[in-house]
Amino acid sequence: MAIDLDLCTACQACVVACYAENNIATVGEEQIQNGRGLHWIRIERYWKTEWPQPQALFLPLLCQHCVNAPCEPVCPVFASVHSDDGLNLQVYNRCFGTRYCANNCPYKVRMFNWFKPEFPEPLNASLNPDVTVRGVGIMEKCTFCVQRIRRARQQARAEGRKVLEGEVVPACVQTCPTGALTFGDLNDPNSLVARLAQSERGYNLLEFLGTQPSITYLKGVGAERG
Amino acid sequence: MMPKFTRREFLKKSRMLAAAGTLGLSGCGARDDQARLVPFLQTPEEQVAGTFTYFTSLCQMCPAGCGILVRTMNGRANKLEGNPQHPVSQGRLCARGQAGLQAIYNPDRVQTPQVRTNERGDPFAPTTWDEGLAILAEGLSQSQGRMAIYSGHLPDHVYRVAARLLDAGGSARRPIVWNLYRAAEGRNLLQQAAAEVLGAERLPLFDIGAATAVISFNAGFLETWLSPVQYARGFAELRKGATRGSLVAVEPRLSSTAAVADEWLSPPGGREGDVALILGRIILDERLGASDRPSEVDAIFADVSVRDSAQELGLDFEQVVRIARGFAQADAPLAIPGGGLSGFDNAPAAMRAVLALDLLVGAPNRTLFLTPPPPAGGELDPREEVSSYADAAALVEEMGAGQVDLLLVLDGDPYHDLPQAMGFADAAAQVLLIVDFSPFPTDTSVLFADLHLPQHTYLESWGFGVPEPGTALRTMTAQQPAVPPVFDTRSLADILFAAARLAGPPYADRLPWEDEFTYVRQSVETMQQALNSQQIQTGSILTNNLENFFFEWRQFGGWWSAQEDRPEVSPTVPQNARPEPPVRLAEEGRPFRLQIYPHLLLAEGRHANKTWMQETPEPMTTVVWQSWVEINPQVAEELELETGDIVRVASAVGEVEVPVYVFQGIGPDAVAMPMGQGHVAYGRYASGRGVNTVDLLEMTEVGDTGELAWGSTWVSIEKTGEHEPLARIERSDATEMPTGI
Amino acid sequence: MARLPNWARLPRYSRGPTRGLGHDPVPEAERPLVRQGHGEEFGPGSVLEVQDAVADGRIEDVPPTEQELEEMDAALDGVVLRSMTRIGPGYLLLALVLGFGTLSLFGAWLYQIFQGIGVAGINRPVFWGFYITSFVFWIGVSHSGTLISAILRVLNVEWRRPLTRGAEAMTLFSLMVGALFPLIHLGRVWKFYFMIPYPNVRELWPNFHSALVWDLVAILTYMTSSALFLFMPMIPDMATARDRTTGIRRRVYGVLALGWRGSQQQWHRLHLAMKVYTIVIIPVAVSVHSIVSWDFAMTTNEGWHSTIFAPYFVIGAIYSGVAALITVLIFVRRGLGLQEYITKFHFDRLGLILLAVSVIWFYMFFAQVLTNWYGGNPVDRELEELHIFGAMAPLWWFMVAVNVFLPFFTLWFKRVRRSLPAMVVITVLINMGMWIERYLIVVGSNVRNHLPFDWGDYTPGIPEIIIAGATFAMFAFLYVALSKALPFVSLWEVKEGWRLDKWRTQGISEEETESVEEPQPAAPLPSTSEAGEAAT
Repeated sequence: MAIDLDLCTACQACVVACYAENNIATVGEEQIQNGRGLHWIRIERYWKTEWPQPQALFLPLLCQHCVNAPCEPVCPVFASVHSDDGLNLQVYNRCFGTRYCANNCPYKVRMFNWFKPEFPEPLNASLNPDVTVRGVGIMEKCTFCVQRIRRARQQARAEGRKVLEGEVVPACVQTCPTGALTFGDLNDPNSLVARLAQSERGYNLLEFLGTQPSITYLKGVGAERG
Repeated sequence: MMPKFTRREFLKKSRMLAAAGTLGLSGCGARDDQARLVPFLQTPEEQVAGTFTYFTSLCQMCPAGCGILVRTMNGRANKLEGNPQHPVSQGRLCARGQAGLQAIYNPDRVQTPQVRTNERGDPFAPTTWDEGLAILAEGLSQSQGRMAIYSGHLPDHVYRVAARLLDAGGSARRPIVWNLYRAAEGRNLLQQAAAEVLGAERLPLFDIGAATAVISFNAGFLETWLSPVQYARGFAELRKGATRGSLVAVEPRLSSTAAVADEWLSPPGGREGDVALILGRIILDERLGASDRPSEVDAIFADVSVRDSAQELGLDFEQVVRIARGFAQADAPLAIPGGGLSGFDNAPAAMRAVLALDLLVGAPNRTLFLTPPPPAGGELDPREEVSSYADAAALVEEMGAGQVDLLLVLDGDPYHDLPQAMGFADAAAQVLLIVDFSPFPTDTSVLFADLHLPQHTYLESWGFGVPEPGTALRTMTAQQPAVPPVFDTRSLADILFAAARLAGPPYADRLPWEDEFTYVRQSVETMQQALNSQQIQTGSILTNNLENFFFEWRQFGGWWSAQEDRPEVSPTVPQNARPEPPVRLAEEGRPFRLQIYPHLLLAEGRHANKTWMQETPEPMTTVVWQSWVEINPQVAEELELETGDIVRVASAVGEVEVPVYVFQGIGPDAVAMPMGQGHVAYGRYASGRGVNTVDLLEMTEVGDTGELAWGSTWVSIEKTGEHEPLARIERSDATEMPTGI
Repeated sequence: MARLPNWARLPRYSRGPTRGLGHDPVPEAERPLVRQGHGEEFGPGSVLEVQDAVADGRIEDVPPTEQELEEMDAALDGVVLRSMTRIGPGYLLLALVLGFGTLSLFGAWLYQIFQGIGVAGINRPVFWGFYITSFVFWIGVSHSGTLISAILRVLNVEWRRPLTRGAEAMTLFSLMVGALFPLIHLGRVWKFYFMIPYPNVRELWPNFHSALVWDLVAILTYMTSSALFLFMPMIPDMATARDRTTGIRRRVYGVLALGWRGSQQQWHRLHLAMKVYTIVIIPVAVSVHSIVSWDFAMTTNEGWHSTIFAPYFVIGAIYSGVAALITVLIFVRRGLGLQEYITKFHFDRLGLILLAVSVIWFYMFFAQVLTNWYGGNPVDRELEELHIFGAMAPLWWFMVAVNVFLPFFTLWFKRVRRSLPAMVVITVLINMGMWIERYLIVVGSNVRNHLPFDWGDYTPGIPEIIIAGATFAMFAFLYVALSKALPFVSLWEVKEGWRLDKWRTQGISEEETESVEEPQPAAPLPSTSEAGEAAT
């Protein structure tokens, strides 16, 4: 995925789209006060400069799907695993909640279910049948909408071809009104995302940690941004 | 002695043995490949559950009118997406649009018709549709024109029905569509300004994508203003152009639109128009005005003294000059007069000043057009009109004077949305019958309604809509039920038709349709005939057969023209484009101007009953689930306040206690508060949460326009000494730039 | 030349004349006169001074006769067995209170299981809180017992003899408490078996890359070996208890004595096994806390990712363990009436060890802080500022005060080391400091990370406070409960020490040569058929 910080307007569409697509539970005021929101993607707002010349920057932050993911080796039960197509996935059934992975995640994008999620009737009818509803005591995180990828892959397999560029996008990318998010196959050098990853504006978040994220951020441009 | 071992016993035991053997053997003998077929790691996400069915529809979560796709499985909607072919949304959807699912599946929906059998404010008793409709029909028959309709947002087709209903009842009123969110959009003032400057009383078409330099004068066009999805796409085009287009925001509070702008100018509230004048004067002085500008436009900027004004507004003069040069030298400049201007009594002049700046740099017909007319006129007009504040105030006054016997609250919450100072609560007591049609238990319904006839949500009902402001493509969007009704509710048009039938003439004559579907189908038919008669053949649907047309209209989510149509503006130089500084009211002891802004997610409060909207952070403060007041860091230091301290915010007409958010992006002369919370009812997620900011507003009108000067309330801040941690996504106050980002 | 008085005729390591905390019941008239201080008057001397006098030849050291030795054996057996069998109202009350405390732990835990782990105060980014702090603390406390006992055994330090049993028991008990926490802190404790490598048809295994799996292995290994280390030298004492008790106790001890008859061969095997085991268990103990430290050090987190963590944690564990051992021994000594056998001399020596360990610990602590401070990594720097000057400064400075300055400025003085009230205060403070040190590592490092937007804070939830507090009750409860079942002084080892002491000073007399090869347990073993049956 590539995220163009020059285009992100912090409109939160991706956040809500993610809630809808991935059956993310809301936790309520008190739990947010305790820092227990379950946003798989959040838009962090930083102040480059403060009053009287404030410069705010927005950083959409979601699981970086690191090639060298710090969450994976520390999980004692292989609940945090790498898929063959490079996704970093969480196996909810296997997770038993040591929270070691979240501690080791430098991006703090792994969300923990502190309580049983609530979907009072008939709110449960809006749940996406493709996605597990997570129970209490397990870790969850962005999957790049793996259920969509699997659907597309199955379709492509049935038609005897590869998944095409743009055929599948996660919910956040799909809804982003400015198109700040781009999704595709990094291994395909012709894909848009692979070309964006080569952009001179591109960088990886906390690159010095050597996690090799799959997400390339494109630095904001212009005199006052970046 | 051995127990008797019969043949039956033998068979039983041998069966058990065999079963045990099978179990045991299968346990031991599972082959490796079989074991691997169903590993634990094969999560449900890896398996495809079935096939989704998509329905096109029309988003009603805000007035912008995006076309959407409803993804359903087994008759349940589970995701809303933008309709990729729809001109407004083009496959995208905003945060509020996504949350439509929580409207239809809201656990607090009113599930059956309800009638008040006792005092207002006591619990409702459930009733049947027959009884409910009978009461409504009776009310209609007896109202004798003493009937009014209030709403916060009406879909186009319902607006027409409502207007007919009033008409049939002999009421001279139009349906009242007003709340602070609609007022803050400044639609009416913008239309009036467009009438004076651009030559037609229609919303201008801001072609942000075609521009290369945009100055937004208090237009939160990336958040809630008018048509945010469309404008966001324009913004992306602006940024991604061959030369990266620039965006400058002129507004008193650093909104997220201003935060993504290249530069932010923060004049005091109500002085944005002066910035337009300063910029214009600098452009004139440097001879950078467009060569084809109307010559009289220069006069508007003639006697502006730029340095003094800039100093008075607290702006950096060098910066202003730089912005003016960049703006005027750009290939395609565009100045946008935003809804934020409409909060001050100088709003008309300020909007004219901004449009005059557009004339000066030659924006008309390059980046500034008019919205194309709807696909068909006649029966299909009028579209939803937003009433003026004066209309709403007049309604409340008439209610109080006992001149209204029947009040229909179609989709709104006047008790919550109207400023308390307006006196809706007292006025409602004088109304004989109040009928609420909201799908949700609104404050008005719970406290005042005598009858609640719950309507469908938009995902369960038929309809159509003409986006306003639309795009360059003339559009009529289709709305159709994507899922069966969840509860025993009916669509609003159906309720009104049924009641009209029961009430008999003249209602039955004016509302002759059997149901909403027939009505919508007939409207589409009318449109198709109009299209034929106008010789508009190049649309998205290439058939003349009505049956096929109606089918494809639903299949593709509407009809839109194939050719872009940007009606040219005929610029007129406005007469009075010199905004006076806004009149400051109630100055005594109230040192801070109250900057109210529509909440990006909760809007004016209609989305406060949706957990996704409550739990998604407001982008600048990241606060969720709460109300707050934004205070400048210097002021906070002087008042010894820190984030989370509870303060008492008091205006001349009301006071509330809210936590402080120390905010970098608000000046020391103002405090800012979002709309949206402070419901007394409205379901488990909204009730009793936060404060209703609207109640602080003083009733000042914008000149003689009849609009509310909602930006002109001044307040005092008083520390209560209490502290409560704000619920926010940022986990600390220290969110300065880290390294490596 | 005066003869060594009878009261001083105990082995050197346990020549303590005191009874009760600080009280010295030996008649002053019987004591040799020694100077009370530089240039001061002569007065009645203490046991060390007596020993000095013996060394100087001022007093003649006449070893006890066989008769006297047997009297001493009987007295020791009497004291220990009496404490095991007598249950008074005070004991019952104490056991009840502690038992209730222990129950509250499980009550709070059950509440947490049914409500969800969210009732604890942990959050994002502070995913670990009181539970892991307590875990590290108790695993740390568990260290000293086995390690101290093993090291002293290896070095053949004679004064260890009355202490080893109490120390080893402490290891086991604190491990039992500490090992609860990895379970308590789980989000879904009912799935804890996922971590155990059991064969299954889905071919799922735990992830051996994960430090938590190392942890599991290390703690289980340590628990097993500590239990054996406690049990093995207890076998002869079990036989003694078997022979001195009746009824159900006799049967149980009979089983636990594993048929011990006190034969030469059994003694030989016990000594050999202990020799091997003592050496082997030292690396096990060291590895356990190294692995606990790697739970942290193997992460990318600033404040955790540090090469010094393993030795730092090990020395910290020994530090808090020795302190805890002193606290525990003082109470056990009092509670079980072992004043004659565990003496001020022991606390003097343990105090010196504590002082030495505290200095080493400070060295590592200082090295850690200094490198973080100078490293220039903004997060490390932010963490140090938070700890030293920021919101966590009170905790940090308290820790520095009690863990660095307090031992350094007090334990140099013999008078302090020999004052049991002072030692109780100092060691309890040190362990409070060590708990806070663990808190500052676990929570104090997690509240800051690379993304300031996600910096957090932590307030413990009520179940966390109850559980963390109740573990102290549980630890004490285990001690109190098992004090009625196990001899908390190794009888045979003390008796062995007396005899070794006698032979060292006197040489072996002719009539004793028959039993030279191995020391016999003092208690004569009645070879009744009943005992034989119980043993088999």
